[in-house]
Parts: sequence; C-alpha cells; structure tokens
Amino acid sequence: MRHARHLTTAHDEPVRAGFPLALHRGTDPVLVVTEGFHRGQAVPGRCADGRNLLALRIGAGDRALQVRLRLSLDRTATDWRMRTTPLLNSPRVLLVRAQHRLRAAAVLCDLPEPVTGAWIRFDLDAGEVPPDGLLLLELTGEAAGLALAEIVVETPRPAPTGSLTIPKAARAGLLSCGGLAVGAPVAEHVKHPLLVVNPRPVPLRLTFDSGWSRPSVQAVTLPEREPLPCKTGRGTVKIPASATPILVTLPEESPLRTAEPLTP
Amino acid sequence: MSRYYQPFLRAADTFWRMNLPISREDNWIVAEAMHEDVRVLIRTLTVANAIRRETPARLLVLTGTDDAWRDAMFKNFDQARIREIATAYGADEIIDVHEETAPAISELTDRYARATACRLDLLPRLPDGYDLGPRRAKAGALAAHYAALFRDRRIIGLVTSHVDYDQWGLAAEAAVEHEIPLIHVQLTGSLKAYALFPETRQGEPTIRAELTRQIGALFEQDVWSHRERLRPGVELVAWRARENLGRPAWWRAGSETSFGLRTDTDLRQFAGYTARRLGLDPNRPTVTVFNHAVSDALGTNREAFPDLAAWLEETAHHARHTPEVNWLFLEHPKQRHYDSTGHFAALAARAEQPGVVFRRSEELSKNALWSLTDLGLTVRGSVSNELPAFGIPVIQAGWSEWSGCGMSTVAAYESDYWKELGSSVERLCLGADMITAQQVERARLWLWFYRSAADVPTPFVPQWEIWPEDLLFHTLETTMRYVETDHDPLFTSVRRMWHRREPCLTRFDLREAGR
Repeated sequence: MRHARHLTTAHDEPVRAGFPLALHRGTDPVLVVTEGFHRGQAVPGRCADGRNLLALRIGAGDRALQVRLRLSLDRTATDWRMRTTPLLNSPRVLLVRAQHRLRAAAVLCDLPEPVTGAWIRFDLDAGEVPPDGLLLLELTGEAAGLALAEIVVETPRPAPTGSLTIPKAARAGLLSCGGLAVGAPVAEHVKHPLLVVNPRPVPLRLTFDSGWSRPSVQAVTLPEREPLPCKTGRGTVKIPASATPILVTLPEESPLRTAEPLTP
Repeated sequence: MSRYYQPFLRAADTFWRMNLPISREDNWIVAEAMHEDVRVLIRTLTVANAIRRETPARLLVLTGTDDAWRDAMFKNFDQARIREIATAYGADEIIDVHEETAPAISELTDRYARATACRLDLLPRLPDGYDLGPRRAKAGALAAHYAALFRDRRIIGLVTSHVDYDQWGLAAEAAVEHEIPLIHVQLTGSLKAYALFPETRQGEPTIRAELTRQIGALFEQDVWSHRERLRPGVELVAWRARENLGRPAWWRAGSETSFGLRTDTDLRQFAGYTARRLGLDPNRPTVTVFNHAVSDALGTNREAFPDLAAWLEETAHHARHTPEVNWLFLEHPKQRHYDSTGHFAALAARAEQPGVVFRRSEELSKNALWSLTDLGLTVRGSVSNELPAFGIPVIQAGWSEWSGCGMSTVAAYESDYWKELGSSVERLCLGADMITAQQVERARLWLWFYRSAADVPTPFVPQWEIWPEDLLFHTLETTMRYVETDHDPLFTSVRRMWHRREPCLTRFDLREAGR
C-alpha cells in the first residue's frame, strides 16, 4: 500500500485549496496537476490535441458543486489546429469529463473572425469530489490550441427556465452550436448544422424560425453515438431528457431561435 | 572551431606548466582520451593532473578510435584536436591504441568483444551466425597493447571515462590486473569520480561490482550513520529532485515535470485515472517494468539474468501468468541509440494482453507514473534510487552503483528475483506496506550523496551542462587565467581520495564532518 507521506518533503508549501473558485491563471497552486494541457499566465491555459487533464484542489468538503468552464477559440487556437489538422471546415467536438464521467460536450467552429466562446456547466453530487482529494477535469477531442479562459467552481445555482434565446441557452451551458461571438455588442451564435444538447433531467424544446415546417433532425448520444429518436412538431424539435450529451445534426444551417427546458 | 579554442589552449598550457611538479622519477600516469566529447577529455586530463600534484608523474594519454566506433558513436572524433588539448594539459606522450598490434585472445577479450559488438551494432545479444572475428581481433590487439603498457612502465594510475567495452574496459582490466589504481570519472554533474585501489579490492568479479561493494560500505559508515545531521540538506535535495531540479533520472515526460499530488486520496484518484487511460484495471495494484538501454555495458556488474533483454523477456513471460496485478512495461527513452532490432516492440507484440501493456516512457508523466506504480522492476536503472526516495518500492535484478546502500530489494540471482517478485505480488494484493521508512530515508540520502557529497564543484571542471563548446572553452580560459589554485576543491578532493584510498571523490571530508 502506497502512502502519500513518503512523497512530501520538509520544504513543501502547505496544501492550498480554493472554494468558491474562479480560476484565471494557470500558475495558481489550486491547479495541482495538468497533463496535455499547457498552463497559461493570463488564462488557465490552452489545450493540447486529444487528451487534457486538469486536477484541481477544491477543498469544499462534502457539498454538491457546480462547475463552469469558458472555452475560447481565437486565432492562436485556429493556427495551432491548422498545424495538425488542415480541415478547418469541420467543427470541433469536445467532450468534458469530471471524476471519469462524461458531463458535457461542446461544438466550436474555427472561423477567421471573431473570437468565439463556448460555455460548459454541470453539477457534481455531494461527495463526488473527495474532501481531501481532487476535481479531475478531462477535455478530449479536437481541442488543439483551444484556450480555457475561466474555471468556476461554486455552490450549484438553479438551471434557467422558460424560453431562452440561443445565446442565453449557450451561456447557460444548455447547448452548444458552433460558439458565441465574444466581444460583439450582441452575442450572436455561430450558425452551424451541428449542435450539442447537454445532459438535463428534463426535455429541451428547440424552436426554429418560421418557414420551417417539420425539421428533419438526426440525434445521437455521446460518446457512443447511438441514435436517439426526437419528436418534431411545427417548427420545433423536442430533445428528450438525457444523462449524456446529445449530438444533433440539423438539415441545413440552423435558423434556431429559442431553447426551452420543459417542466416534467 | 570555437573562437575561444586557441585562447583556451594557451591558457591551459601556461596554467598547467606552472601548476605541476616535475617528475624526477620514471613514473607515469595514464589518462584515457578515446571519447569525442571535449567535456570527457577535460575530466580525465584534469583528474590525472590533480593526481600528478600528489605523486609526480609524467602524463601518458591513450587515444584513437576505429571505424566501428566512429560509425556507431564518434562521427566527430578529432584526434588532432585531442592531441592539442592533451599537450596543453601537459601530456608527455600520446599513443594511438588502435594502431595495429598482434592480438592476444583470451576469455576476457572474448567477453569484451561480445559486449562491444552488441553496443556498436545496437543488438540486445549477438544473433546466431554473427561474425565476431573482427571485434575479437580488435579486443585482442587492445589487450596486447595494454598488457605491454602496464607491464613495461612504472604506472601510478589510470584515469578513464569508461570501464566498459573493449577500448576502455580492457585498459581498466589491465590496470586492475597490474594492481594499479583506477580512477573512473563520471560524465555528469560537476566533478565526480570513483576509484578502485589495489589495497581495497574485495575479490568481486568485475570493476563495477567492486565499486558497488565499496560505495555501499562508505555510504553506511559516512552517510547513513550521520543521517540526523544531514537531514536538512537531504530534504532540500529530495524536494529539488521531485521538482526535476539537479537532474534526477530521465523517466519523465509531458509539460509538467514537477509532482503535485500530496494526499493518499490524490494518489488513488490519479492512479485510477492513469490505469483507465492505459486500459488497466484501476482496482488492481500495478507493477511497472523499466526497460534498459538493451546493449548498454552488458555483463559489467552482478546481474541475475544472462543479459538485459533476457530479464525483460522472462519478466514479460511471468507477467502473462500473473493476472492478479497490472503490468506496465516501459521502453527506455533513449533506446533508439541502443537497439536496432525493435526488441521491445517485438516483445510487446508477443506478450501484450489484457492487464499487460507496453508503452513508450514519454507517454506517461511523472504524476501518472508515480501514482500508478506500486512496485518498480529494473536491473540497475536509476529508478531504483529515485522511486524509493518517494515511497515506491523497487526490486533490482542485479547490482548497481547504489545497490549496496539499502534502498531497494536486490536480487543477484535469478531464483532470488522470482522469489522476491512472487512475495511482493502477494503482499501487493493484500494491501501490505511495501517499503520501510528507512528505505525511503536511505534513498533520499543517496540522492543527497550523489548530487552533493560526491559531486565536487570546481571551476577547473565546469558543470557538465556548461555547454556548448564556446561557453566551455571561455569558462576554462577565464578560470585558468584568473583563478588561483590553493585549496581549490579539485585538488583537495583528489588529494583526500588518493591518499586515503577512498572509493570516490568527496566535496568535503565526510569522516571529519561526522565527528
């Protein structure tokens, strides 16, 4: 049996934890270990292609937690990806795991301009992060160069309700559809036929611009990509409640208008 | 050519002319100069000169190479430059040992020929039908050269950078045979050297085995017994080693080289993450097998298996029949310089199965490796001192420099190895403690000893990392122009080792410090 006491020396700094946490620097000692991921000075850091691991010491005891991540896709990220994957017209699909379980996904498109962002948000049950242990975040997929601009860990806030504009729904981490323009007066979402709807305990109704009758969509679960039937109505699609993210392919460039979590 | 080269030569020539006594007797000291790296040459010549200050002698330099060594390793071997530097360091005679001589073949030369052929052709072992003839003839010729040299002259010592392979090892063997002190400078750190004196030999079969025994005794007497007093320095070296400062072992990869895990829960979580990533069962203990550079210095110390490849193959076979633990076989990071046969990949193709995985060492970070590994296996790798310093037990299937210092489990025979491995796997499965606090402390003391007490900082031998040549030559020129020699650690440490017949150079008087 291994003992951590053999790993320490008399010169170790006391263990530091951060709760509530708003991490903006990769040099913060709360970010205990990274793998793949490159620590940054003004942001937590940038992702390598493939697998990225961040181990954070939260120190929040046994309580339930909400984790929010802001991903930023800028010119550096696009250039970085171009060095390894020249096919930039394919969107990036990213998976986010915590404590080994898939929690959320995002779709981001590389564009010349502007900088786009994606918001990830998920809750962890009480005890999932051990009081004397680590929050293990994994980002996998086509992540090359992508900046992780902010990591927030705090007490869970209730999920938004009612009919939400797509930018609002994306900021709330309900869905991801190519990214949101960052810095523009009105946060436009990048329109792309690929969409991720993140795990929720209730169905999500997507409403399209008028002119669409019964949109023909294909939905699969992530990461297994098993087909998932979705009910369509006049100008709407109902994505069922799901414990895993759902990847939705829309028939053409999406004229999405609103997303609404439905009450059971 | 470096612009500092000629000024360095001039400074060295003046410096050594004024800093060496004249030998009134027909004594000689032999310094080896058969490596292309000037940092190696500086080490052998400087130590030889420091000994000449204690026992006046003329300096004989052995140099030269052959096509096989040049093709395999020394593409930039420049004998003319070696001769210039040796002359500036006061060489009285320079001999090319690779010139034709009638060979003297023996069992010893055959052994060296085999090990050299493996190294030069990057082979884990000689295949059937391999033509050893040319290498055997060369080893015989070198042995004849050295035998005549050590027989016909009054030689007070041999300073060499290697004690392995034909061109170095046979010189070292000849020195030992003729009861001549052997100084083995180390190609790392500041100035490090081991010494084997005829008076202190204990009858071990190889030079390295003799040193293992003597280093162990010195460690016990002058290091372990003073552990209380040494603890503050030891803790600092341990911290630095964990953060990859001070150049610990090279089994590391990834953007992070420091180790951030601190609690038992951290270890368990990270081990689970790594096991899943590698396709191993996170609920089983993991044995990590560290492959060696398979053609490196074969048969030079006590080893439990016929060669390094045999150890790996047999261990892989054992792993396939021991499913109660995970097995991670890691390739040596520099293997491309030591194996041309794809030995590791071929073994992986035969032996990989669920629970037994083969990986390149670069695929695992230090955090991943250290959290996952419950037991390490090696023959003589530096992991056997690094891992125990941080609580990871290691079984060695043979001796190494530090294997007499009590930090690892050492099996000198194959039967011992299987017995130790079997009982360790049993205890792992029971969740038993696998390493004692004393082993951890001894391993940390070794880290301290290796990089502090047995590492002599002197400006006359710039730290190994002072490089490239421009920087090295400029540093040496500056030293020789501006630094006076009285009580320089180079001379005090060589004096202490030489007169006391100690097995290594020491930064300070360990015996005096222990009183």
